[in-house]
Amino acid sequence: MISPAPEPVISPARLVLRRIGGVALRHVYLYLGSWPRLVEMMYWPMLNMLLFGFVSLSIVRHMGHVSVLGDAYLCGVMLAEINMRTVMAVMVMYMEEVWSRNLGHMFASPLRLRDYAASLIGLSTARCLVSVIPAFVLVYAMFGFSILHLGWALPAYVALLCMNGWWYGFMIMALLMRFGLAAEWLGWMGAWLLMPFMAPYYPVSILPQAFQWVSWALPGTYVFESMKQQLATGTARIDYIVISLGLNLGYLVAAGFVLSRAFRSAKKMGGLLQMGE
Amino acid sequence: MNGGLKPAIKPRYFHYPTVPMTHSPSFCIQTSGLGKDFDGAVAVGGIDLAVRAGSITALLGGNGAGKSTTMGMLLGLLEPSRGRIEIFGHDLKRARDKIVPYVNFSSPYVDLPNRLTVRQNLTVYGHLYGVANLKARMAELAAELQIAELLDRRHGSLSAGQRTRASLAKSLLNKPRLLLLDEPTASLDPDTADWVRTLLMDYRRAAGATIFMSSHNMYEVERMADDVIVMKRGVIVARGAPRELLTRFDRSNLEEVFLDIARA
Repeated sequence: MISPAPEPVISPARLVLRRIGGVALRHVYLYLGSWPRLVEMMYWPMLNMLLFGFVSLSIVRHMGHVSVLGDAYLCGVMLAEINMRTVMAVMVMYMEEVWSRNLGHMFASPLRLRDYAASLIGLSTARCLVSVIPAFVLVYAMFGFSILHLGWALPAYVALLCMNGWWYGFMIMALLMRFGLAAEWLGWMGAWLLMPFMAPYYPVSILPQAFQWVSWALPGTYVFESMKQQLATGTARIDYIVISLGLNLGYLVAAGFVLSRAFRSAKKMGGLLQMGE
Repeated sequence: MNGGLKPAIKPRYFHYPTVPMTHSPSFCIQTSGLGKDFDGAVAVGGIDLAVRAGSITALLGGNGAGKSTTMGMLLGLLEPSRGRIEIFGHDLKRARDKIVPYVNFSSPYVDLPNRLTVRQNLTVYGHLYGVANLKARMAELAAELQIAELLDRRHGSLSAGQRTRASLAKSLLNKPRLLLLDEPTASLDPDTADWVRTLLMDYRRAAGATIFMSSHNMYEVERMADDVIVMKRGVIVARGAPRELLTRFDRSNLEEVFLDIARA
């Protein structure tokens, strides 16, 4: 039997942190060494903000007495961007490993799936913030609208939408892990699938009844509804924030289970060795 | 071309401390009834391996013999359909976390990220393997493998020989007690290939490590291996020291033995 401790001894907690940090470094190096990736990361949110900012402006110009509608629309676009960028970040960072045929090296090392998932949570949040903050500054500069008007609720909304992005990103990652690159396009399509149900730009009540059931099962919906009510009444819905948190935690546990099953399935089918371009 | 290699300078590993072991089992790898099926087709059909600790063991076989599948299972990247794997006396399925920090591998078919520099890749994997004093370890490896001038070049910009050395540096980062190598000299020119073989044999001797490798190069196997295992259609059809196999098959070299087995 070998001694379980490497030499010199590093505490197990530090080893976990180093593994998480190792995955993070891999992506930091990748992005710092690739300006097209950095530009792309900020390009789409900025483009969306410009586009929808002008749409919002035209709403306000034509319906000046209900400018809150324009604000709600623009705010919805900004918060939806946070959710989407997190989902995409989880998916893209996993795909980077697949494209570079690096999964075998990573998972033959002491890296565990939960270390990897923890690292993706941190990285996707960072990547999302780097993507959206310049776009939010642009919105302020161009349209004089600041998302900071949401006050204390803003960090809660951001955290809840990021959480929504994590578990949904893990679900898509599980799909990719299970079916390999054949499922890549399904993954890209799936990334946007929940957005219409979360009703970022319109009230949930406008959706058909069956859609509304799906809608109220999604944590993001409660964030968007709270935001809309806050802009209309000046008060955020704390009950919605709590429900959203509970749903997010439940879905995170479920996504962790699905991901671990997909990982095992990939190990059974040889996916970790064969995935790649 | 060997990427500026200086074959006259022999790699040295004599100052490497070995990973402490409370007990040295006679066998580094033991499998019993190890098998793998894909969609009902048998890729590996219940093999019993016993790889001596400190040996260099070569796994031979034609394409589709089950070598890569066996390697994948030993690395924990493929889940066996049946059977059991013990590494360092531990069950791989139950005690993966105790085993993996002492194992590493290199394969021309599993790449390192091409957009990262050699230094960045080593840093990333140093973190993943929990290597203490990583900078010092990287400097050691850069000197041993003569990759100091490659450290700040992207992995994707390296020649085949340089990539092999960079991959070897990654595989030696954690001073593995068990080194799994998939065709370690594939696509290398004879000079670089010879240099790599010398380096691996020196590492085995100095660190007391076990090397388990697959190869299609019979000269390489004759030169390096203490034991040879030959697979065909997912099962082991011959095993023994190279000399034993030559005697048993009444042949003058392993290539002829391999052809006898392959065509039988």
